[in-house]
Amino acid sequence: MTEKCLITNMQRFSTNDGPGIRTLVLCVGCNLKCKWCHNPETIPMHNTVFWKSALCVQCGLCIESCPEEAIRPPIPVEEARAEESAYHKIERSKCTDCMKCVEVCDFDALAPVGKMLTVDEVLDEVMRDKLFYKNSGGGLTLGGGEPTMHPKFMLELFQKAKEEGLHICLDTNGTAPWKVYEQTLPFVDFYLVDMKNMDTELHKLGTGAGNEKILENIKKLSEVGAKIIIRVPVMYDYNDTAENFEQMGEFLKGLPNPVHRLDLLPFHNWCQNKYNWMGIYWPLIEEENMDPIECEDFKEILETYGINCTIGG
Amino acid sequence: MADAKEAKLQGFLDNNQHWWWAEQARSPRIDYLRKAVWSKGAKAGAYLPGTKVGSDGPILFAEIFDDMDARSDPYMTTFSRALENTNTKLPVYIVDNSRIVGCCAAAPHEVFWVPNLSFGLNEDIFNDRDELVDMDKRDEVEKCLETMKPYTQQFMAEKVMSKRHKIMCRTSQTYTGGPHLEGLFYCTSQFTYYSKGFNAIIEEIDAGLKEASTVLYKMGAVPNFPDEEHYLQRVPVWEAMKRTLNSEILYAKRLARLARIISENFETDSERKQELLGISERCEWVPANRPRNFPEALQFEHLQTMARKREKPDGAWPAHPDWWFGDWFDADMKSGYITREDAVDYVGEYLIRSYEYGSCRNRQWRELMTGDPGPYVWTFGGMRPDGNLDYRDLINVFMEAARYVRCVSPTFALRYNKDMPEDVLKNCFESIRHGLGYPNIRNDQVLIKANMFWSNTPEDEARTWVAQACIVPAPETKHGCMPMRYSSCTTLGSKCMELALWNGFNPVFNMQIGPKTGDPTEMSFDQLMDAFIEQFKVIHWDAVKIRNIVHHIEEIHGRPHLSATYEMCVEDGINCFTRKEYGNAWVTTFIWMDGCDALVGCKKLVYDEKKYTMAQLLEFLKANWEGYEKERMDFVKAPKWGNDDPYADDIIVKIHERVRDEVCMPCKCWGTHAQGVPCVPQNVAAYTVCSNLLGALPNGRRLGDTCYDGGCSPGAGNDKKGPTAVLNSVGKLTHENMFRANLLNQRLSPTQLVGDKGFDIWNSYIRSWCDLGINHVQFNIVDNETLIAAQEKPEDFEEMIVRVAGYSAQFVGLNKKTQDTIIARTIQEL
Repeated sequence: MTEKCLITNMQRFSTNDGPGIRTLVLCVGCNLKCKWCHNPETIPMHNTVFWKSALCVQCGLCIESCPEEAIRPPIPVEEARAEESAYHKIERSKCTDCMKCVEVCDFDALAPVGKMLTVDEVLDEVMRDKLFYKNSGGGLTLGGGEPTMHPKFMLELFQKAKEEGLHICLDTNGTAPWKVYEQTLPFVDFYLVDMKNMDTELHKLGTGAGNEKILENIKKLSEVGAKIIIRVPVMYDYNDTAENFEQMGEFLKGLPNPVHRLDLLPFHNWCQNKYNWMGIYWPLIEEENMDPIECEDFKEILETYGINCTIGG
Repeated sequence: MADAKEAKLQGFLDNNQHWWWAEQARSPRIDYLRKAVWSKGAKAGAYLPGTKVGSDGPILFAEIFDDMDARSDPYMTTFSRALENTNTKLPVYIVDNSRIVGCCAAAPHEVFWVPNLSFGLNEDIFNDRDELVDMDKRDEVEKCLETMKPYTQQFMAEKVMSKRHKIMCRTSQTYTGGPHLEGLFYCTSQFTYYSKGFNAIIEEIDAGLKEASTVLYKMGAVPNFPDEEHYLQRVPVWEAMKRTLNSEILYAKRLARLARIISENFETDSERKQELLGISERCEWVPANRPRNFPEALQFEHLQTMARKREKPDGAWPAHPDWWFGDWFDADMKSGYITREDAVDYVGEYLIRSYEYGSCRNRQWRELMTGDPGPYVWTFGGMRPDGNLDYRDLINVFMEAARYVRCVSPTFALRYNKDMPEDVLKNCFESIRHGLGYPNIRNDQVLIKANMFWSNTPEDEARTWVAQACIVPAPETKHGCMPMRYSSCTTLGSKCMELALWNGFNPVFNMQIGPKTGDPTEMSFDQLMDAFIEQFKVIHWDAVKIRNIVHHIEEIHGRPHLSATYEMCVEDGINCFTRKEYGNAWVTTFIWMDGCDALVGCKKLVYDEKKYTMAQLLEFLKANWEGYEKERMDFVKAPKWGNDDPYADDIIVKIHERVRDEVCMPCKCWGTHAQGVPCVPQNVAAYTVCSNLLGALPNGRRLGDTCYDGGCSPGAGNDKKGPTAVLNSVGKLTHENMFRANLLNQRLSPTQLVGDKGFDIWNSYIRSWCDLGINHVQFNIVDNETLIAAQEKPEDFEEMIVRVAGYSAQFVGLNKKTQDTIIARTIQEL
């Protein structure tokens, strides 16, 4: 019996999630609620509906299909597409994500965020680019959401991918129970682990959970000699302080084995469409993209601790 | 101070403002020359304001064609006398600060007018609304054009063509024009032969003439008709070659004299005086003699090419500069005769002088090549006949110079081998990263095999290949040099799908133009595919037949200069068109994958899922989908090429196999070696220009919609699975033998190509592309924001270059529709 998982995207030719050219497979469901999350559609554990205003012709077919009366009546297309428009097709409080409206939409304006796929289906798609992996040292990266929330699916996928000789990265927020990570050790070549803030209170404020478990898991991964790439999303007025990066350097320096690399990821708001499609107001939409140059100081700090650091990966 | 400049330059690079970087980083000489040059690229169909088509061509040609001798002499003799008259009398000029001199035309803002190609072209130019002909010469030019009319290739060809051929050519229903209407040529160069200098060639010709004189005229010799006939045929050919070469030496000497006069009488700057004397010395020496150093080699080849283009305008410009000039460059660098900076300046100037050339074209072709005076695709690197790879440092110099001058033509093609030196590959990547759109990357081993398959070229000769036009490889050897591409008849490939659906009737023109292949409502899918192939067969074969007729006329015209630069022709005293040992046959197929996707759409929705009947589909198409948007979206969403989807890909591979076996292979080209006449799917700007010629199709296309932009590229926005999926699909075609060559466009995001990581990713991407056996790929590296900003404020982006399809152009010089399609191409995030 092959395991299934709700997959939102299989992004081929991904180059920022581990070495070389990779296919990034994104699972739904995440136990953290990061304010800056770039894949908001992967936070819930269930499927939801995107409404893409740019594709919607306001034909009204979806109204008739909706058993919950959660669809708002059409308005003129230009009005709906206007930048300042507050109109959203779906009344989310009523919507049960039954997907009936998706079935009748001819223009792909209403689309499910994910699709339930078996391990074999995922692997079939991933294997199509094996030539590119071979030439670039790339492979499969499993991310999300938080893939460790689907341990059975994840392990079966890793096992089969390993049998195919694939290079495997696990992109995780670091919060899973250690025994979950322990089971992945024979398969995973690189762990991509996020570190958001060294101050656990601030960590909780930004993500909904403290950082203790994450730091503990990083330590354990290091102890067993796993290769780790730390990824730090750098946010204005949240973790962009010298103190934070000094503490981070101190922590990483104290690990039994050095991490392979640390990537500073300057904040950007390119994901704002996804929030709009979900009808969610995202406070950070007004926030300006961070110029990578603003991370230079933090990079220097981390380098004084002997850490191999990049901006942007 | 120097640091401040460095920082400023770095700032431009960081912001991807490569054009401002180039302006500040290049030498003052190159900056001046680049700004002083007149671009001959057209915007839509119009030349840029101020550009003129020179009257000298018609006047100087008519002086000769109007005399008594012309009525009885062989055409080639008269042609050579017309060229002699031109080379002797055409005004010469020298641009300030330049060191490479000579031009095809008489002034920097002029295009040279070759008047014996097409009377339609002549009338097009003469009557152009932009007043391309000088007002004070109009009456004289009109008379000259009248004189030249019966001597034009078009006039002579149309006497032989059928009424159907003439209608089809002039209405462009299934192919764009015809070779007799365009008069664009695509010859390859045997540089290794003619670089010995024209005097040495004339000596060879004289030896032949001497032998002829003995056989024909020696007192007391025994009459022997076969021998005498042999020489009677050859003497006028040799004489025409010699006359032409001598006049070209004279043209150079006139430039030498002008340089000396300016230096001795007018120039006040002592350094420039010396430069002018240097120019004078060079033009005294070349092209009469073999060049002695690198600058002389560039000057030599420039004079040779310009002379050739006065004979017939080149639609392309095949060259292999690193192999041709590499020995001189290496020797000069070793001896210290030139510095590297100076070499970059010389090459930069050579590129600018080449960019200055504009070929004489009718409005249709100016539209098809919107923004570009070319396409002049120069080839670099590759495998030598002995199997060794040859990538010289001179490639790096050309790439560097190209980044400084940022001309849209010439562009470059890199013959890629996996073991090629990384520094050269990095330099090529740097040029792509600078947004030049070139070099395009060509799979050396695949194209060597394609050459061997289609032309039966021996492997060692096939290894000398250059891009003969945009993408087709041809050898440069004594036996393999090509006087022309086979066909300038370019077919409108996807028309075959439309004709198959309408039983040979063309709904766009309301004419029955194809064979009656049957009512599609009564067809199975296999029968529909048969009809598709049958319609394409007629389109392709028509183009080949027209080409055959025009080739016959071209042979009557002859080419004195080109023949004199081919060893075989000089040796044997024959016109280059008479040589038929090797054939580099092909027909360029514009707009191809649209029709293939349309056939897939029928299979999916009509035959497999049976969602619609064929009768319903025809109703949608007849209405141009108006009122059937929902149904159209179904066809838009049907499987499409470029997504690594076996459903679409298997059908499309099958189409290509059948086209090769049933359409291309049965055609006979000239030459004992040539096999069939293959397709070359690619588009230049035809994908916008021809969009009104192709009606609604079951891929969701409406009449007037922009077509797919490459030969094997997916339609804009159809590639949903990223660039690796595109390559996987394209790699399913057998590039060694399904077509002569095929064009793939991709757009990549500049933000992802930064630094060494960007190169590493691109490098591994190209290695995989090579493993998949794909013959071509070219990149645009520019983001949407920049392109949209350029549409809004063109004055700030005048130098921004983009790849169109087969050539590069200044983005702001393109028509709006072409601009929009480039923005619409799916950006592939690396």
